[in-house]
Amino acid sequence: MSDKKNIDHLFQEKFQHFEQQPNPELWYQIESRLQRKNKRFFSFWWISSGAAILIVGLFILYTQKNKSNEVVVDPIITTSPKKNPQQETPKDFFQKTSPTEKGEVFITGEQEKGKIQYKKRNDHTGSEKILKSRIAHTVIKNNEQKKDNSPSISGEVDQLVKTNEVSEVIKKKIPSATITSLSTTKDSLKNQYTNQQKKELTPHQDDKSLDMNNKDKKWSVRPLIALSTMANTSNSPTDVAIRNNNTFGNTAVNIGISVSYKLSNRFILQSGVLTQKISFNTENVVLLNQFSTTNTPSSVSLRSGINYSFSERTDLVNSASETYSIVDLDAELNQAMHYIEIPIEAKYRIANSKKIRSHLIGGFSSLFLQKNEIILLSDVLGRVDIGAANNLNSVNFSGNVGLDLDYQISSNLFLNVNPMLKVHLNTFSRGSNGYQPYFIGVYSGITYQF
Amino acid sequence: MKIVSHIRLNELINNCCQNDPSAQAKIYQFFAAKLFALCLKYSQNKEDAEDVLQDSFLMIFKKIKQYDHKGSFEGWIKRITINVALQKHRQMSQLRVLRQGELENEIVYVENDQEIGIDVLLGFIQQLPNQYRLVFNLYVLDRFSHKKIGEMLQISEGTSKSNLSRARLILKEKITEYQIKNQKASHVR
Repeated sequence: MSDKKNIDHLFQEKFQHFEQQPNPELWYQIESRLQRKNKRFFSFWWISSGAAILIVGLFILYTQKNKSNEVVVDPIITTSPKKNPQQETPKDFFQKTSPTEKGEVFITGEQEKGKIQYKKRNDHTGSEKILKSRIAHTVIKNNEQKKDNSPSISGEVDQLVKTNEVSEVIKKKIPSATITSLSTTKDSLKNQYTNQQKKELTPHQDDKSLDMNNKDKKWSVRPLIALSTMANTSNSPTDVAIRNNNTFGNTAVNIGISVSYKLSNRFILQSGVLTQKISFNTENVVLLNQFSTTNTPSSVSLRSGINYSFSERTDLVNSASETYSIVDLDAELNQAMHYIEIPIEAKYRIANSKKIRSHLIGGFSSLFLQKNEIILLSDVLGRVDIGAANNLNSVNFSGNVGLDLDYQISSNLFLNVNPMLKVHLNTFSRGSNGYQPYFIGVYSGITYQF
Repeated sequence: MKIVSHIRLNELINNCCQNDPSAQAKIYQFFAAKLFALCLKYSQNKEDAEDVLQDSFLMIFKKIKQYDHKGSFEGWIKRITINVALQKHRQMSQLRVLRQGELENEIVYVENDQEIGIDVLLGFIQQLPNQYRLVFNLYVLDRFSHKKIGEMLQISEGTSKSNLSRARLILKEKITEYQIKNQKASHVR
């Protein structure tokens, strides 16, 4: 007699403890896909950080090189075939300090080619030393014309510097007429030199290198292009139903033009017109048919014919009693907001050298909403424009900070790189879920100064 | 079968939340065989099952932060795998409503005088038309109700019942065929 068995029980018994090892290669494929995902997330940061490190590195190298080339010593006499504008010659000094009053006494050293390099010091002794060495130098040069060059002179200059006994040596070496004229001008010279020294001690000598060339050029204009992204990674503002889902910013390209006005050597006022494209995706969205749930999206105005609602994955997994009609288990929602941006920013110069200058930037932007859309990215349905956010303010503001690096490529043109952080202040009118957009952009452009 | 303690499992899950590759590899080692078996049941062949398994693990690691440690982790990952398998079917071809007249939800019996290997039974399941296979798996092997299956597959409860009955009849036919063939072979010997 044959034994009958319920077919359901047959399969249930057989498959109750059914396990089968997959191909060992499979894990390596999963592993590489997991790594790829992480790489995608960091790609923007790699590019931007790489660019920033390169620029900062070049800047540091450049400034280090400049420093190492500078010979900084206590007063010594050197000779140089060419006049270097950065290094002040005694001739320059005298022409600057005493162009009229009794200047003729010192202009006798006009033919000399020597110059003095000196280390800046804040202490009084140092400045006195410099003053004395200058006086001595000039006096010696005067003597050179009257007597033949003597090998003892340089030794005496050293002595002058070391002993601070200027008047003693002057008396020994210089004719009395010259001493008289020197003594009458000594006080005025001292005053003038003190003033000169004050000027030198406050702004660096280097500061003048770029400004000397562009003294009267107050305006500059800069067409620019920027790569930008959003720094936020949590609390999606797209809809309350997916508030706990992760977000990630997409890289966008922005363009614009910026105009600057130089208020002083240190301060620049800057404005312009720029685009600001914000685009971020909310991940792991479960797309449901609206008839299967009472939820309808609250912050998204759906286009006609689109009848979806969203859910977090945990809602489905953790609630065994509820049932849903899932359209896509792992969709993404892309939210895009495009603004026209009008910034007003102040730039404060923090570094300046022959070719490179750098500013700190702070300010605000007014943002005017131009485009507002929400796109569904689904493996099942493809790319679908489902509607727009209904919780965005049409006028928005941001607080901006950043750093600006200019590299001089000609007398009027600068290559410019400018990383900026812009924190939005009132993007959403409601239901933002604590999401405050942090916009990060690396702007670059060519500045034309006029 | 690998055994993992509750504490160790929780530790691995927490490490996976930090995208720790070694914890991800361990979780894979512990559950790959179980989930692959599930994938095989829901797929037409081994290759499709491997695709589903890959996507399922990617999804599991992506969502692991959302696991609340309340229910069984194995149940949670099985549910994700089933959902991925269903999603895969939607992607490949829209599931058509297979309705060839309503059938009674009657019990189907098969002869039980021969031992049938699990590989043979698995082959029979995989040969079922897509929708029959899904309904049979969901109802018989993974114990979902017809109401729930209807919602998961976006079909009516009646269609689910009908599909299940047809699946049973096809399977019975295959099993009987197999048994007759085996009997003949043994007689020849």
